[in-house]
Amino acid sequence: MNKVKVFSIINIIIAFLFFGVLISRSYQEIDVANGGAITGDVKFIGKPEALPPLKVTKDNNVCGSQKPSEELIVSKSGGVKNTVITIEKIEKGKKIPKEEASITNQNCQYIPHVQAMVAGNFLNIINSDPILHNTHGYLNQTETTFNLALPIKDQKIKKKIKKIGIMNITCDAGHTWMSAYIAVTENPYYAVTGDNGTFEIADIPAGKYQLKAWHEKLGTQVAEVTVTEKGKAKVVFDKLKK
Amino acid sequence: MIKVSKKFFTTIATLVMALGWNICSAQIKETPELVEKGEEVFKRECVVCHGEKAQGDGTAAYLLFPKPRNLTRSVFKVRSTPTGEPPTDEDLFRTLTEGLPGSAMPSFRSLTDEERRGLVSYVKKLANISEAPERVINVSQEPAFTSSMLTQGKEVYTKLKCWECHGNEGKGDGPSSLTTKDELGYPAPPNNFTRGIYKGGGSNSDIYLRFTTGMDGTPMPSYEDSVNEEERWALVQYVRSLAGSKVAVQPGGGDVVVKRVSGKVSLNPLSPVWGKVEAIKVQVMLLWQRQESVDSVSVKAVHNGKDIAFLLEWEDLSPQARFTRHQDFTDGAAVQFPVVPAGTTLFSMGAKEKTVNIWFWRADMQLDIEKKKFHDIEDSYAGMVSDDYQLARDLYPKSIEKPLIQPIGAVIEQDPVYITGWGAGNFVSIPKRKSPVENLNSEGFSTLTARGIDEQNVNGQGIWDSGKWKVVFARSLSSENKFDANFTPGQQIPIAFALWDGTQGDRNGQKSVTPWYNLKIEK
Ligand SMILES: [Cu+2]
Repeated sequence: MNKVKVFSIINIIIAFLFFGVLISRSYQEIDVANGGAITGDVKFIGKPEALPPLKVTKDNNVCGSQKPSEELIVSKSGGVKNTVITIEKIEKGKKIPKEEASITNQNCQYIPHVQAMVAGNFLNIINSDPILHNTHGYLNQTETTFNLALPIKDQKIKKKIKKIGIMNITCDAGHTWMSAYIAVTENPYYAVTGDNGTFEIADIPAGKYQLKAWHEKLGTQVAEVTVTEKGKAKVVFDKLKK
Repeated sequence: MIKVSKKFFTTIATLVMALGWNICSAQIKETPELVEKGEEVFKRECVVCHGEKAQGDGTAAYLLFPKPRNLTRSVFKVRSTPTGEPPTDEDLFRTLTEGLPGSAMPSFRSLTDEERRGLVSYVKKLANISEAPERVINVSQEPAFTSSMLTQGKEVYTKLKCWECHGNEGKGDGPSSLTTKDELGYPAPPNNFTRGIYKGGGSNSDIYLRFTTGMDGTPMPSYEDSVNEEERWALVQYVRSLAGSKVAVQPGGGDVVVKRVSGKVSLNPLSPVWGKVEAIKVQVMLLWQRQESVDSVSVKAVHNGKDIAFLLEWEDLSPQARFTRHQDFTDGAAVQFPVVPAGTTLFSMGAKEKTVNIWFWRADMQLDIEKKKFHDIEDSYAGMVSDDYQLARDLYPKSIEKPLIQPIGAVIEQDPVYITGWGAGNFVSIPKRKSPVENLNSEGFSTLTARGIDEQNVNGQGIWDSGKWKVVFARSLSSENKFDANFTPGQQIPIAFALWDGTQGDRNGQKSVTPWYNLKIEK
């Protein structure tokens, strides 16, 4: 009798392997009561180099003649915009919102330039221009995550983003200046710095965490943070390095 | 209680199994043995290009464009699945079986089914593909062809902006064609549809799938969300029409029969005796892609019990035999055999202790024979003069009677003392040649070794005729020398071919090649 039972269990396991549904998720969703928060700044020390605008070499009637460089945007007080802040390796925490992210080809630029989303959620890829854009997402620089033609104005394609990492979005339709980044995370604890270079991440269970800052041009920096119940930890990143 | 749970488990298991099997019927049943088998075949057949760790950096990789795939990254061009999804097992199996036209990925149809299935399993392991693709793109029922589809197809081609990369006439020369790059930043020129080269295969459903799925890792995007079924089939017909009926095929081995004949074996490519021998069309593949290339070589082979001869014919509309200027490269052709047939290694010029014997015909050496002299610098620059030409015996040492300025053409005899290769008896340097074919050995890249003049036992003759090179290679069936291949009537030996187009700058590792073919020597 037992033998038969064991055999059946093996069968089920094999069947599951065939399906490929044996997904191991290391992040566990819980209700976070009395969670703490992390706020902070990303700072640029010194005077940032002025980046020249990007030359538009194709479709000038739609795209114009140049685009401002978005590679490094620093506020008057030294705050760095478009830095992705993530909590690394958090085992459990707040629920992953089932929200859809989007990236729009608009006037031959990507909007937004930098964003973050949780793996497993959907990304809407939109073209609001009357020309062809070939939106190509490269995870970790070289792995195609999606490679989509958008030849029609106001076309919208929905794509599930499955793998974690930094995704660079480029356009293969000859728009060599077009570039954007999407940080695909495992957990919902992330933020992207705004114009002033500030960020806030809330509803974090008390504990010790590694907080990581990533910026396309400046590089990364990791900080150790202790979050207390209902507390507010403060972190300043000013030593990002490639 | 136990009874119930047993029944429950069995039912569920059967149900789940059946369902799982149904969905994944195209998937290969993987076992550790199969993966192991695949690894063994990979180490034997694939590492030379794809590298020991499959990162696309094998010893041959620098010779290849497009570059061999880094298989650890799980990015595959030819799939039947949506962009960003892994290929199906069948996709990978097919790529192995058919090869990728327009690249140096040959067809591996000479491997057994099991070996190829093993490779699929091993490649999936390398690429870390553990889940089946989320779905497979369904190719709809193909409508019957009508000529209006071509008109509609051209409209779709324009509407979808295919022309931006592939050009208005499909020649791969659209306004974006100079900016397209692959995932590593290497140029990825758009396909020229007029050549009939389709990486993922030339059937209508293949072409349907290529623009529907896109080609991951390249700038070719997926049009799955941009075009309806009717438009897709119209586009397929239009793209096909650009190439006429041409469809490029990758070489993948096959038989080449050496016909037994009576009488003398002729060195003359135009001799009527060749008319009685059936030609075999052998596909060749360029290692470094370019717009123009020869796609096959016609091969005839005979023996008379004593000598063996091969006649190779291939199209070349611009013969090039000059080798004197830096920018000049000569046409050429080579055949390759393992010295010990049982120790056959890869077709890529042998390996350590798996020596190959190479017979190398060169058009410049052929020209030397016909002119009975070296093709020298004055042949490229007619009437040139030199004010101090030390290499001439009759002009040196100088004396008051001999004028200093002389046309080189006036040189009667060159002095081998000053031409070291010639002085040393190097086959490549000697001006009075007997044969335009050099006998060589190799044990892998950068080991090509010239044989001494007394070991040059391969004869030959090449003629450029009717837009084709026609070249005969001949040797005695057997040779005593341990570095020479031997041919035994009634037996088989692997053979591979290579062609160089001098006008296109081919030289050394820049050439067209074939994998091993099976040379069957009639009794
Ligand atoms: Cu674009």
